[in-house]
Amino acid sequence: MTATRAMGWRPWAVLLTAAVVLYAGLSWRNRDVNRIRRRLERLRVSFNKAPDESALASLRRAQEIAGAFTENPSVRLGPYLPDLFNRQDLAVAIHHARTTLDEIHTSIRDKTIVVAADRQSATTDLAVEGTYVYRDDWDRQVTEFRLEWARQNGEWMIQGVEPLEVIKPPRRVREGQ
Amino acid sequence: MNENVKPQTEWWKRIVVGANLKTTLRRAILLALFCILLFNYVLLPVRVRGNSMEPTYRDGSWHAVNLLKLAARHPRRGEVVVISMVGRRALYLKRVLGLPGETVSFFNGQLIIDGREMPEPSLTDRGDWTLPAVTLGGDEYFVAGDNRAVPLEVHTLGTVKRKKMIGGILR
Repeated sequence: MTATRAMGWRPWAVLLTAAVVLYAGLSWRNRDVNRIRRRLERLRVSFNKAPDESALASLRRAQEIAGAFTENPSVRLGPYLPDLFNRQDLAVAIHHARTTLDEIHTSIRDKTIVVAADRQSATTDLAVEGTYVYRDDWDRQVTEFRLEWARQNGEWMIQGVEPLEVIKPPRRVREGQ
Repeated sequence: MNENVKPQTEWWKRIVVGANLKTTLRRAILLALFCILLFNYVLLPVRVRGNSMEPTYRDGSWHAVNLLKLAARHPRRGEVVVISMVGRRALYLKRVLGLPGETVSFFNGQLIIDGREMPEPSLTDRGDWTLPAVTLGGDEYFVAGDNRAVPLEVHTLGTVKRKKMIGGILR
């Protein structure tokens, strides 16, 4: 009876072991994707701003966000904003935006993460929804960005940001004339 | 006499799993497969976020995207199309204004196609947009929202490739 019972359990044990091994294998294989995903989520939370955020807290958040970038990143956010190529300039720009807007709420609507075969670089395409409150008025926009990542000292850092234009704006809109 | 009477399934079992568990499971699997196919390849429920298509589609309203609408034909002028962004969880809803090869411009809110004024019956307020002429490529369309009261600078409009248009609004 003991032998029969053992035989009955064996297929389940094999299946369970196979599932655990498969899960561990997939997690190991996707470890870079998972790290980038976690980093993106931390960034998203950092971008949010509550209405009562102090100037000091805003500065700290701006430094925190800029810290996710390489020393000399290439940041292009669109036709109406200046391109940035320096982490410090980026921190200043983020701090300025945070002090100008009363509230910021962000959510990542969709994303794809592709890690290069050598695991030293990665590309993320993001659709980010941002809701901004400014002087009792609000606006909501979904914007697509491409983030280029580089691995530096084992950490994934953002080295490039550019808008993805699925709908390409006409020249006059692009130039903001 | 009692032997001929069919044993009655308990009422709660009938509600939870039906009279026959195997049949119920089979039906549940078929229904799940049908729903997966339907909501991935035919109908996509979407909620409008933002005011760029007002008053036609209001912020927060729910609609269904017909993913087969543009499978066998090209988009038509005046039609509302759904444009995919990075994936399928964020989509643009825009009206087709210009077709491939055409030259599109705006003058004081008036849409001009190939030098001719084009009426836009779907609009309640045509606004005051002015844009220089854009000539579309062989697989490009010019799209814009219906809310022309929005300043041009913050409205998403322009050219889009045919392959990014994944369907049309069902209702």
